[in-house]
Amino acid sequence: TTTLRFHSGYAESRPEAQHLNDFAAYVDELSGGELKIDVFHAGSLGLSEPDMLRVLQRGNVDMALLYGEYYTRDAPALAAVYAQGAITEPGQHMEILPIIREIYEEGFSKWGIQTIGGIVSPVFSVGIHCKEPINSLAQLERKAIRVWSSQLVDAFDRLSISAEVIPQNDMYMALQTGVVDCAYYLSTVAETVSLHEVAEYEAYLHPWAAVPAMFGVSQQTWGRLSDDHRQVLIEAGEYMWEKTGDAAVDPVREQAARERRESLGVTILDDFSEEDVSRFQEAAMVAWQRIAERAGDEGTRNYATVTEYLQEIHD
Amino acid sequence: MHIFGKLIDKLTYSLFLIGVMGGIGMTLLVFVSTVLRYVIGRPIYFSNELAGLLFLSLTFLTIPHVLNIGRHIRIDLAVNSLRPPMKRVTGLFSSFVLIAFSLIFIYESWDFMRFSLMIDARSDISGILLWPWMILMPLSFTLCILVQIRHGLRSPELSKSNTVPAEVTS
Amino acid sequence: MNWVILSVGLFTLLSSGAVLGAALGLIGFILLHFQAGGSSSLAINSAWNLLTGFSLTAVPLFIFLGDILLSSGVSTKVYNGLTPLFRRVPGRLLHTNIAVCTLFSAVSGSSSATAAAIGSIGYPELKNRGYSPSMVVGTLAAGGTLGLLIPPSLALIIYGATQNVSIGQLFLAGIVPGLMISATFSIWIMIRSKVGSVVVPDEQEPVSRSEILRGLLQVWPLPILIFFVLGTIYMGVATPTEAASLGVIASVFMGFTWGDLTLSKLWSAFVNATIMFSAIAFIMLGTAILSQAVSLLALPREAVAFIADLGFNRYGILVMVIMVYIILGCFFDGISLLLMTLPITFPMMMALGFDPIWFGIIVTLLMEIGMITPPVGLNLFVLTSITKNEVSLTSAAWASLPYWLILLGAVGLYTLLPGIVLWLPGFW
Ligand code: NA
Ligand code: NA
Repeated sequence: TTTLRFHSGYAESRPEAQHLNDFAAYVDELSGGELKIDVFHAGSLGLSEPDMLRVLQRGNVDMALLYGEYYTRDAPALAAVYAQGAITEPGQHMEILPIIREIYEEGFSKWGIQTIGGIVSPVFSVGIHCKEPINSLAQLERKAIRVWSSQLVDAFDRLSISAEVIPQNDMYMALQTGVVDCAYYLSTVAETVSLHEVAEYEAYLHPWAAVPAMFGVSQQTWGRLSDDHRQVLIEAGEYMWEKTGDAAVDPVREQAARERRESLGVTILDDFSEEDVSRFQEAAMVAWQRIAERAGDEGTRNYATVTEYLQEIHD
Repeated sequence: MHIFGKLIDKLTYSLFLIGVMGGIGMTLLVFVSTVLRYVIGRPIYFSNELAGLLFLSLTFLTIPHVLNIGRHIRIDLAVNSLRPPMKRVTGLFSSFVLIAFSLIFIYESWDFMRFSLMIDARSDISGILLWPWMILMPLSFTLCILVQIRHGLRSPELSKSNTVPAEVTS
Repeated sequence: MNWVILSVGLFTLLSSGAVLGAALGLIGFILLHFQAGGSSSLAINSAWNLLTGFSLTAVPLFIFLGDILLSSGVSTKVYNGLTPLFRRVPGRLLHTNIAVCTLFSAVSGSSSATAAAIGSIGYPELKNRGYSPSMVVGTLAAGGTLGLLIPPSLALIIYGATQNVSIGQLFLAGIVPGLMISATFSIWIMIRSKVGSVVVPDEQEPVSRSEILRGLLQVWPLPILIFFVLGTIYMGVATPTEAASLGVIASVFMGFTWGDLTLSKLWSAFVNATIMFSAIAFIMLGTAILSQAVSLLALPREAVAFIADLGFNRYGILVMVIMVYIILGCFFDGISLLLMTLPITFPMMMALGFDPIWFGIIVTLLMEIGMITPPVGLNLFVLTSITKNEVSLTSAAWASLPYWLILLGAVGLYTLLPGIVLWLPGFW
């Protein structure tokens, strides 16, 4: 039997980790136990996300979960493929997804990485979670807000709102102690980080434009595998892609999560107004474009491809 | 050998002084950024990233000088109880450990730097070019090898004034 | 094979007297190259990631802070200010050592810096007054260990930064155990001064309330400094690194106005601190490489599986881990011990379901035990050199034994009642 080591940065409690275990089980089944995937969750191989392109290129690990957003240093063009503000309806995500996948597959192959399907991240709701009732951009102007990327800092800055990148692990403390007044966060999973304990009010802003997590295989490993085993990997990867894709947009899940948060004492305010949403989107798109341009020709090209398709979808 | 020794001393000490100033600069950078956060409501947006790069420079700029003055930490308990001929053998062996480590480190970090130069790697937030910082890694350990040669493959002796065993680490 | 290379390598290279950082790194390179299929390039990735991360930038800043306080004479003022307070308590000025170490720990991130700062003032003073030199050294060596537990703490910063645990929460968790241990040290001093051989001179100096008050008033700037380095963190105004920078600037200001800092003293404080930092940084570099090898080869997972096969329950395993730390504590201490062991012990303890914050405090206590465990014990070294060898390493170690036992007792207590550690961070 052949065993492949698979790196993932997700903690074992995350649904993505469960998907990886399912993938491993399916590969085992398809190959009749001849090909095994040994998943190392939570970065336990000691590898860190920004290095993964280099690491796979050199074949230091067999497989890894590739998450385009992380590669600002080594492949800025890949980090700028998709960004917040790109979509305003969850369904749009599913329409744009094939294009995004194509760009990533091409980009990763330039690093000598074979891509075989992956995990479509669920389209969660993104909300603004505050200590006070806030559901308009005007109210946010006097507040400090926690965000997760430099694109978002730039976007909020264009709306005269002071934003700061704070890692998810420090978010609770930052709200508790008042370093920030609000957090821009995935409402659907806010409970897992106990956000309701430090921010009692929430208002819906837009759906999460989630970069898919692709399964990358190093060229060295790919070269060593038999045709049968390659086929097994492709089939299992595609299976995970379909399976997670089908579950990505789920209004029932979103509604249940919302009710759950209300039962925890969160006051859910009216959504941000349409006007606010489009102001935010405009600012986010400009910020996205700036990042793409900084990434050079390839970045600009990727940005143009994705936004053209988005334009068609929006129309 | 005398001139070579002096040259190494001067070179490592100059880098060390640059390192000290980098450390002072890092302190001021973090301080100013913290104050700005509260005075005008936002910190210097790239200060964390730059402080990280200064931390790296502080490390690699100072290691050769600190090696030269014998202040790096060794566990020399077992060695101290040995008799002089054996002491020379372990001394030679420990110089070999340092040189071997340095050679591999130089080889790999040079490669790391060259690759980053080739893909024009930049920092996440402020887009600072990274290879000039990366080159400090092979540079530092090249100097470490020269320092070790300067000390004739013996462990650099602690001068008497330095005997408080590095009020170091914690 | 991995374990053979790891243990034989560590034993040979470390006992040869090689530079610790180079030895650790070389073993890492050997494992990466020969055991992990030529992966030595990963060493540079992990070194780069560790050394450019923001959280660790607090380390040199806290070392700067400690050295500036030392060279500006601020610690002398604090020591003299607190002296009258303890004249009437059994054990008298020995308590000053513990109290000043406790206070100093609240601004200093390091243990031997605390021992050195307070020791260089306290030892000559108390010896002249006729206190038993070894008893004095024992209190100072023990008081110094508080530097790592009472926040700010280099150990907790490095633990948090390398294992991705909230440093703010760790800092909160250190307060109660730190104060409890400090109080226990004082209780022991009271007991010891009543029982057994005479360690406290028969000195009948009357002390008036006003004298105590005047003394306390004399130390007023210190709480301000404590506010800058701790208050700002807890109020959420600053990250530990930012708080350290506020502390450095505040201590420079205090040194010039209240102490006797000069520009040239300030410069040499920076130079000395940089040397000290560089020594730590080389070890961090070596362990970054070794950790990469250890985790890429999945050694922690193997270790967990192996120990699980032995059939101990999780507390049995914890006791084994504690024993390993105590044994290693004879030969290593401080940050080196922490950095060397965490790659294996942290994932192992987490897999067994222990709390990451709680384990941070336990490991810090074990490191402190290591600092006063001979033959290699940094606090013992610092103090014997302060006494100019009037107190030998052996007698310093014997004098520290009661405190060593108190620290070990604390490890046991916090294991039985983890709530003591986790209570305060629970409020945040
Ligand atoms: Na402290
Ligand atoms: Na020790």
